[in-house]
Amino acid sequence: MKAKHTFILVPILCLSVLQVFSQSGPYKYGKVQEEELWMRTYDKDTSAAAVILSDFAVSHFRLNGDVKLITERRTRIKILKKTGYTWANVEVPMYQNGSSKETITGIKGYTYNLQDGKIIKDKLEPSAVFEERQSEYRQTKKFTMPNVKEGSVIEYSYTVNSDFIYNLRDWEFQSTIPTVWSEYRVKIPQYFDYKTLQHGYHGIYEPKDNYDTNRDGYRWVMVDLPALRPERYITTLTDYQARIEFELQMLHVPGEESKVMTGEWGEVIKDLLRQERFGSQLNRKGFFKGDIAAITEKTTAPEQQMKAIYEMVQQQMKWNGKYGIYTTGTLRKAFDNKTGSAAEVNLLLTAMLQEAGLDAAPVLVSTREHGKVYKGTPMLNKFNYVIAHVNLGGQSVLLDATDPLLPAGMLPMRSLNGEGRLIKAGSDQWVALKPSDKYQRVYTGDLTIRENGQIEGDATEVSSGYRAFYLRKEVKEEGEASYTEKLNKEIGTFKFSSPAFKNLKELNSPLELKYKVSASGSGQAQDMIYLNPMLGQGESENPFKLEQRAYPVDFAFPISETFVCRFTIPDNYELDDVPHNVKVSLPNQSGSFMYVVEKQGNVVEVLSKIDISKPVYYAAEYPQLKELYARIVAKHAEQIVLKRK
Amino acid sequence: MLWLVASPVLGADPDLLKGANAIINQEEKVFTVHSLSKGTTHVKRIVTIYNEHGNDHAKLFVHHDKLNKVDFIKGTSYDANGKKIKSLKNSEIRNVSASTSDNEVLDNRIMIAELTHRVYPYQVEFEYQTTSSNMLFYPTWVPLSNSKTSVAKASFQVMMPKGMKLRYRESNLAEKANQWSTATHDMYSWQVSNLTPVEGEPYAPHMLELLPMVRTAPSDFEVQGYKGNMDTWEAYGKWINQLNQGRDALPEATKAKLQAMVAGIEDPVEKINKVYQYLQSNTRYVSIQLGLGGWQPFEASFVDSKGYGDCKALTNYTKAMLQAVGIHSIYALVNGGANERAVLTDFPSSQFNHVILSVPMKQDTLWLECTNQFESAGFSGSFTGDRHALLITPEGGKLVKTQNYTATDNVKSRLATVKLDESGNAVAQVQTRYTGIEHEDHRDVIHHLSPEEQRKWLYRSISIPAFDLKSFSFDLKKGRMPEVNEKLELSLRQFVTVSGKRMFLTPNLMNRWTNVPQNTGKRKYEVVRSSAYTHVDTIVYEMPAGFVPEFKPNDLSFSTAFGKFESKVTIEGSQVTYIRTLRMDKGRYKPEVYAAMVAFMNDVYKADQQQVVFVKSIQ
Repeated sequence: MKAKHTFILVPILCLSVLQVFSQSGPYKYGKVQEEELWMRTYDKDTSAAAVILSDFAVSHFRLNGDVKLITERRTRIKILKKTGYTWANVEVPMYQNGSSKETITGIKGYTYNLQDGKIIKDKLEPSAVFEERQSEYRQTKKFTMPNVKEGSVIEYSYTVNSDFIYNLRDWEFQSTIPTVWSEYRVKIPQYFDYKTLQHGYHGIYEPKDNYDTNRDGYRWVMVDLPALRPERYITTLTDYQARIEFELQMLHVPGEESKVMTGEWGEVIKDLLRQERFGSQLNRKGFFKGDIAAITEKTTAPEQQMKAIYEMVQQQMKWNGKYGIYTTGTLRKAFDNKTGSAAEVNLLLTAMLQEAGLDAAPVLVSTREHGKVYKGTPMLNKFNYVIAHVNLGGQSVLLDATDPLLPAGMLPMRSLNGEGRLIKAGSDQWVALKPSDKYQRVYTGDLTIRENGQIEGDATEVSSGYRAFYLRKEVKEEGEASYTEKLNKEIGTFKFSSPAFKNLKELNSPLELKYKVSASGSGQAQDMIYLNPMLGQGESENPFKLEQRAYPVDFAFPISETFVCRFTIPDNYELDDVPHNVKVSLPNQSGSFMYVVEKQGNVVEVLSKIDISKPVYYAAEYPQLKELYARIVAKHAEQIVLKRK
Repeated sequence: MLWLVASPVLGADPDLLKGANAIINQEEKVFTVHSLSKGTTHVKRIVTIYNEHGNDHAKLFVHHDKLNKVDFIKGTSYDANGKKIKSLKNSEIRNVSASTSDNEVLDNRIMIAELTHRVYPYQVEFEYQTTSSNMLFYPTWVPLSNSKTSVAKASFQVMMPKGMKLRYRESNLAEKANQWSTATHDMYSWQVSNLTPVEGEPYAPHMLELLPMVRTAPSDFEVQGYKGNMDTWEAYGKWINQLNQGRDALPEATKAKLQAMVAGIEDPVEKINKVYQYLQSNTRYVSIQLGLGGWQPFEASFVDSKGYGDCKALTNYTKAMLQAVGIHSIYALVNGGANERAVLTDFPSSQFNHVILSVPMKQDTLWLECTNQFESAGFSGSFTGDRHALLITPEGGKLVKTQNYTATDNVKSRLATVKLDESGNAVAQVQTRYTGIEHEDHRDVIHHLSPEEQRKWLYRSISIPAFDLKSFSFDLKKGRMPEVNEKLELSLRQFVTVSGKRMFLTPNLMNRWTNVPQNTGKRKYEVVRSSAYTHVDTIVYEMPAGFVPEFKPNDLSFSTAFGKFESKVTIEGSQVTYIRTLRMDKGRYKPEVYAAMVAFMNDVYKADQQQVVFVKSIQ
């Protein structure tokens, strides 16, 4: 964000601004209602440990002197259970960037308790307020409310004075405990055009009172919000949270020409491409000219050139784990240090691809943890990551060089989130951030069963797509020797030995793992041999256990699991019982399960195939998905029975 | 002092490189004691990093707070040819807070310096110095503190002013201390060379027991004007007692309130329960530790008026409240946490991280955890049970053992009836009683999760392939040996597998072992098992009509030094009864018994997989 802004402004504006504060919120500060203290449970959610009775904030811009964004906030919380005590320890963050910073002033607070029918008030003492510095960018005020018990009502207020006048913070209506009333007001002077963006599944409430938006500014209220709760297979909880976001669109400084802070993508792209910490980095190509020339001399095919450059960046540059769309220093510096943020690594990749004459451009991405991207009008703070796009004779390829184990064209899971914005002069294009591949495994076994119940044979697991990527990652973390050492394992009656990988380094080829399998007989009742043909590779538990699901199931990529095993049975045995063949499918071919047993002479072949074809399933599809897995689990538990002739 | 110029990176000893991601070429740590209340630690270290897994060594973390100042940090990195890559600038050193949670206010901070490079091998040289005015702690020297690291050469030196005594404890060292004197100082030094990586093993003792190490401690010391001596536990306890002196006064009104509350009660346990309940409903745990506040409790009157405090403050407050109702109790230092390292009883020093209250009773001792609003009075469990605590009395410190919990205390006992139909679905009624440490998971769930979250937790933790939870209830009985009674009603989908004309039943309903540790062959370290429990599962199945048994597993019984397992299946008419008893003991065993332990665990695993087979009877 920009540094502190001082502009001398016409003073008439200051008047109306100050009036905002005389307005009252839904509750008067310091006037706790007796019924709030009597309250024992919250009717709308009897399990709640605490309830936010009212969360109220007013923001305005102080225009005289250094321009500041001032936000007054007051919050009233009912503590219902001991587990709700953590809500009485409050942490307020303060950000800092260079000389621009936020400060917190005027912290006040009271705890209210009911004692013998009387309201007892305990004040938050200044000695219970602490300041802590987390990093050079972040500090927090921490305070601890006194005498908190089950039944207490706490109320606190403070003011945030911010130099970040181009950055109105999100207002979060919804929290991890229920909220009765949440209100945000902001009086924005005519110098700023802020755009707002509403998220979540809850509507704005319109209170019937005399609030005058023309005079007093914007106002948003939501009431009776349920607690926000996490589930498995989601992108990020904030995607489902009721909140409002802001971004500055235009700046009208008196005496200067109005400035578009964001707005049309065409303008935004032009702007970004001129930015010192983005586009202009792409123009400084001198320091790697030699490296690229070496590649273009060797090969002229564009696809080969792309792969060679990608692999060079991927192997030489280490991602430092940092996100963001801007570089922190120059690409030159990142290149010299061989390490950089995602923006640095992938902008460097883009610049190199361009140097080779390829049609390459950066793409802005919002990662899964960062939340879904808004496609309406451009808002740069909706993005936190950069990848590269190459147009290979009409074919789009997306590249991300932040992980040395990703094959060219495959995106890491964090980037698989909706669409990304192509940053290319004269182009107006979103690109789909789709998985280029499945999470795929094919298991092949060839086993011989002996008369005494012993089993011996070989098995091969071929992994491709995301499954290969994750397995390579695991092997790399652990070290190949120690990883395979761990595969030499005896569990129950099964023993695995001589494991060997193939294509561990060849990222574009499927990863093969071969090993020997043997099992000692149970030592009991050899007239009959009972055998689960899945050899411990089947699904043993349904990943979907809950009856209902509120959010979509987001796997990020399709899944395909194939299992084929041939069993050669001893001559003096016959097949007495085998599982029935089944095939079940989800509607619209969005998933299927197939299980087939075939016998030919003394060979029994078992095939199981699971296909989860879509990366994302709607909440309404959840029951079918759960049912599909229930059938798979049941089928995979079934057995083959051999009987002595 | 001799200091070699950073040698070129190449030419490392191949023995040291084996299994190592980095080699500490040279480390020199020097601790200089200036006085009773002040000391300086100076460290210089050269490390060669051979691959990205060794990059931890390119990061330096230096802790500091109000009583520990960082004097300087310097750093330089060199490439494989010994050419300088970069020097650390002061502006690149980050300074972050060490506190992580909302109920914590600490002055502990960490300076972080980083010199990571991407071309291997490379060398990093760090030098830093800290000055401490908290002489309760003398340094501990652990030359091999990272895994997959070798040490070529490292030394540790302590300079004591004449007349001050150094106390130390060596472990796993080839060479003992060297000692000499100068005109002004008594000198002590230790050296190690050519240490290769220490490989962990499953069920090994705590790493701190296995590594070469020198612990040091003062004899006489002073912190913020409080003088003490640490030669004995008694003396150390006296110092702590001195800090607590006069901080236990309660307002008269509170005393009167407490006395009224226990009026007419004779039984001391009942009185304690009353006071403990009062504590639990009127205070909460907030950790505020600034400067000496890390060792000295807030006054009891502060806790009384504000309703919060840390472990020291809340324990001191409870002690004062018990005193007001005529019950004597003792403030006690302990190491809180499951699987904490044991206190070195032969080396009196600051080894504790928590405070609890010991209440001597006629027969035994009752221990109170004062920071928890939910715990049963007198239950120490896995957090503070079965370990040493230091009682702080006016006469000094005294080491005692806290409550031990054995396999007969920690019990999970279950009775279930399961009614099956022909298609393999079933309805189950399950009643389970959890006691002692076995009740802890449920205790936390009962206190901290809403009914909806409890339901989700049960879905996650019940290990049955596919089921619906029809209803559930928990009943917690507080006490010195608390227990939870859990009732579940489950509908099981395809619980038995029907394949063609057969039905396969795995009679172990929901307590199967699903994993076995790896038998790693040659074992170096002793085997430590730290949990003790008994599980009894009695499951009665009502089979559908039309099936006759074809195969029944044999009764099994394995009795070993680690525990005992028994399983038995009885079939009577349409009823199948399965009884499984597993007792695991805690203990420390010789390394060579590891294979036998794994074999025992694999036997249990195999037994849990066994199935009863039924065939459709011919009509």
